[in-house]
Amino acid sequence: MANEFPENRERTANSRHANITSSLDLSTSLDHSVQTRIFKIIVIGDSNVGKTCLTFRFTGGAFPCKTEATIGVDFREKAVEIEGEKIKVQVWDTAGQERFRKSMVEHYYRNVHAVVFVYDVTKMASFQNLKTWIQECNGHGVSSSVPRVLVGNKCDLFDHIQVPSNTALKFADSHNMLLFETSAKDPKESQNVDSIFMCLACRLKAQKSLIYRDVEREDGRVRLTHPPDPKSTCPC
Amino acid sequence: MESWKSHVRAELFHRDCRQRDPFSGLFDKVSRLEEMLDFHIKLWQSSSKENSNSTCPNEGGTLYLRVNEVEFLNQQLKQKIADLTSNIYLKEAELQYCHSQVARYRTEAVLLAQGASCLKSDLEEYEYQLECQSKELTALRREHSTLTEEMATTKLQEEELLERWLEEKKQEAERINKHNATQERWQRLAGRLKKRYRGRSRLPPCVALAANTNNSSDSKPKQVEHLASSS
Ligand SMILES: Nc1nc2c(ncn2[C@@H]2O[C@H](COP(=O)(O)OP(=O)(O)OP(=O)(O)O)[C@@H](O)[C@H]2O)c(=O)[nH]1
Ligand SMILES: [Mg+2]
Repeated sequence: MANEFPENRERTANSRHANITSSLDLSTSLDHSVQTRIFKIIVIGDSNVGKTCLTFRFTGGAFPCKTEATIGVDFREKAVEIEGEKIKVQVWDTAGQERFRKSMVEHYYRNVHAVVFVYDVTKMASFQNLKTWIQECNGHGVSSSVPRVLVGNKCDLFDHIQVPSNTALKFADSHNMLLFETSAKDPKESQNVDSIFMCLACRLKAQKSLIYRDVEREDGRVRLTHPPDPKSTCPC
Repeated sequence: MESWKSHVRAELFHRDCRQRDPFSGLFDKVSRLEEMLDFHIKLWQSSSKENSNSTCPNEGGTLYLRVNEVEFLNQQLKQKIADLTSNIYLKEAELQYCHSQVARYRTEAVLLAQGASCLKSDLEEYEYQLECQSKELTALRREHSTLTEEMATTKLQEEELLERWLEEKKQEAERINKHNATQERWQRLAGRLKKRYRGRSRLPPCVALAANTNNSSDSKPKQVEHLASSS
């Protein structure tokens, strides 16, 4: 990508006296050079709540038969298409154990686009610790405009549920978050897991379109050429 | 007193002193003499009542005394014999009991000896086992200490590896964050450029041409740089 920029500049300089056709050429080449947008989504929560399994379910489409505690962070990506735009969802599967994450926290939150808080529905402590995770998130300067969702995992263990849905819902409401209760293990829930990330991607796309519109306004040419319409293909 | 008499006296005295029951011989003798005296007095009294007229004892009287005395001694001896016979029976029974006890103790002793020899062999075996186990224990202790040492080094290595891994992950995260930021900047810039050219393409050709010719030779790269720095 770093090489593309001087090339473009050269081409721009050479077309000084060209007509509109060459201008259009440039526009097309710019179109080509614009790479897929990346949405950085971090997955946060206690150790053992199933962050790795959830992210693996979304990016790999399966439940991993064996997982180890994540050390530092694992990066996973999935290319999705929303309203005809190809988008790369970059999922940061973070470590839940303090000793495996302590030196990395600031990197997690840098330029993050969305946050997924995960708790284990069969473990009340993981739900109670959400407060700490939210505090950490806010403490790292993550703006309130960054979309956040709450995910209660391991719903397949319905005999062992400790966190009632309405308690989780109240909590999510009070923090202005959407709540998803799902299971990374249950194949029937696979679509639900996908929809967590797709919903965030849609919201981000809508938000970003607004930002572009603002950029255009700054330029003094208020032309709402592509008003955002996230509802058209958004799963949420 | 004559010297031999005093010598005998002294020896007798010594003998009595040495005896387990001192002076028992003398006491026996005294009690026997007293008994005999009592017997003589009783006999004398009964015979004096019968012959109150005669004042001094005659030949017949002495004989009578002797006969009675022998009778008395005879009685005493009979009693003694009976006592001794019963004593002999008792002792025999006691002896038999002792024999049976001895036999019992002998068998018991034999059994105990057998048990002792068994215990002794057991003890030997246990001693052998103990020795083997103590040797094993020393070997295990040695192994344990080497394993502990190994574990400590492995733990240290693990910690180092973890540090390295975390460091690498940190660098990777930094790289990805940087890449994301560059990508986002480039996209914003490319978007602006695209819009600028799209706007220009909408102008009539002559205006567009004029706009192009009015610009200084390096106006576009400047714009690009300006956009790049503003984003
Ligand atoms: N039953 C059930 N088990 C799950 C589910 N999701 C994860 N698990 C199990 O929970 C354990 C922990 O899962 P991970 O995904 O490794 O947990 P984590 O949050 O990534 O943990 P850290 O990496 O230590 O932060 C594993 O044994 C999974 O098999 C689920 O939906 N249902
Ligand atoms: Mg994990």
